Amino acid sequence: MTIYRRYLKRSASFILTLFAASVVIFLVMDLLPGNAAEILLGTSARQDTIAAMRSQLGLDLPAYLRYLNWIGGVFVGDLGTSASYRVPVSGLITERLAVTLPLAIMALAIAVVVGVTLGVVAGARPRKATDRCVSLAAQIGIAVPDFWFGILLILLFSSTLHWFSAGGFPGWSDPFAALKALMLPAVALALPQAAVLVRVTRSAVMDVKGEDFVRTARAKGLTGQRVLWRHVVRNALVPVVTIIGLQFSFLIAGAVLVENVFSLPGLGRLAYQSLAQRDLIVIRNVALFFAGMVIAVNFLVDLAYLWLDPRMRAA
Amino acid sequence: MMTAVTMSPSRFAKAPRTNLIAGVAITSLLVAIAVVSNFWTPASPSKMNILSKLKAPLASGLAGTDAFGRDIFSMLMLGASNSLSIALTAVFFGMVAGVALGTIAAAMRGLVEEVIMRIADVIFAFPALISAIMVAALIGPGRLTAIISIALFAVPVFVRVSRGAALRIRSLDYCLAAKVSGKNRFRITTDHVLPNIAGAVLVQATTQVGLAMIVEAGLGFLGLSVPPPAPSWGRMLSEAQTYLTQAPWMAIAPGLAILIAVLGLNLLGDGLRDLFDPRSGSDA
Repeated sequence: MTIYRRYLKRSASFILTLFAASVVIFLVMDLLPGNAAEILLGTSARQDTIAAMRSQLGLDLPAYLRYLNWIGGVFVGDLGTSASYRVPVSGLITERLAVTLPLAIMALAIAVVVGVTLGVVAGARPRKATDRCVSLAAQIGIAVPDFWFGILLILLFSSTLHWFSAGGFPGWSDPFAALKALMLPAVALALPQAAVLVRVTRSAVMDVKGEDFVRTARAKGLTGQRVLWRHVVRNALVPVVTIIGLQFSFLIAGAVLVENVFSLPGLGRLAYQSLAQRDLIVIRNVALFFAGMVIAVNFLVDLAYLWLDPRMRAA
Repeated sequence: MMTAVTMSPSRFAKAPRTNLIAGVAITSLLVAIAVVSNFWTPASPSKMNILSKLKAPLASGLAGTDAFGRDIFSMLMLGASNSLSIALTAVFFGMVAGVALGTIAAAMRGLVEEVIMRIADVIFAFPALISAIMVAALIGPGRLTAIISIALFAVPVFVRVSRGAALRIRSLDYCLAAKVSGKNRFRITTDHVLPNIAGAVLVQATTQVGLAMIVEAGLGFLGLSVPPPAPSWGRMLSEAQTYLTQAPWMAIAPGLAILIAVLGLNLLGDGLRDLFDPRSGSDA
């Protein structure tokens, strides 16, 4: 299979998965008992009121038309109007994304830098004191719930030291204040991710160290550090990139919780608040957005995998 | 050049068992506490006593009291039972569905395998908390919502693990011999594949229960798991946020409980992996 056909196959699979995810969301949120009109108006609402609301929401149309209306709207950026906020859902998502996206990027950056560095340090000299300390810390880090770690950070840095505020978001008009408000949540979100990356990197570095080309590089007379960073780490990053893709799902789930701990007006908090307000239209679109992000990141990781490891292209 | 990989008995015997011992010890303690809490707790976990509210650890009970004067240690004990029962039930159903789909994919190959793997991809696209929010929108929050969303989240993990392990087993000589001797795909799966992938599935299940306990705590934190007055580690953390400066122990104790429980299960998973596959060498 040529490389182009392989890229094409992955792209087709990506689009198919996105489509299937949208169908699942539609089935769960639209077709199962307890439709949006009844949920919005409550069980005591009169039948004619429910009928009017059904018509207003387009719920009296056949299921396939409702699906097409929704997906057609997604393509042109018209996601409907939020029942509780009374504003277009697309605007709501864009506004909240301005918090969630930087938060996720900061958390991922912290996790990658800390996780990969410590993983390389540990894997370079396995079973030595540094490796044992790093591995123990990683083992504990994986078991720490990110939202609890967020609460501990508030306890230390907000309540005790007063270095950071305990929550809230000042907006991007003051970028420094905005970044400062996202710092503790990003660290909280990054901890379990970094711990996983430490373990994966450590194990990958140990595997690659045993490969023939590393022995060759050493035999050529390269220094230990040069062999480690130029040959070992570069090759060990292939599985690490895959794990980053798989971990993205946890990052999204963590964001829902951490945004609630720090009262950040992000997408996760929007999803949670919409549940409290029974705003099914918002939940449906936020769920599609989150699922789409997970699928897209894994697709990009697949492509990166093909690019990073030439052997995969021929496989 | 082919290199024969053999495990000498001496090396197997010397394989580090620290993880396994620590994992078994912590997990046994967790299970014991969860079981005992259904019959006995130092105080009633739901009994309020406003006069002794927000008491520090040891001033009233081992872990202090909360804003309603309830004994935190007793709440933690019963919380362990709630959290563990949800995690075990959810992982069990996720495992059964995932292993069934994974072994079918490995046995059938072709279009069936492709369809199953794409279904797994689609389920994987929904983080447990997002599924929980969707499910809760339909049937309301509670134990069932938590179990459904955590089980769904576990399915693709088991599909991938069991399919990978099953494909490896099916390529081995004894499976090929069974095929030649006329056994059909179903019999090969039940007689040879399932018994041989059980170890890998058990290791994954152990780690998955730990992960499920973290997710359950997250759901409890958002009020999507067991409803009050049943104690939940996650909801205890949520309630603790209001009293962070006055009663930090309210936030520290449930988090430590989750940390220790998950750490124990992860160590047990690592220990079992070392036992079944000493070459993996997870122990530092």
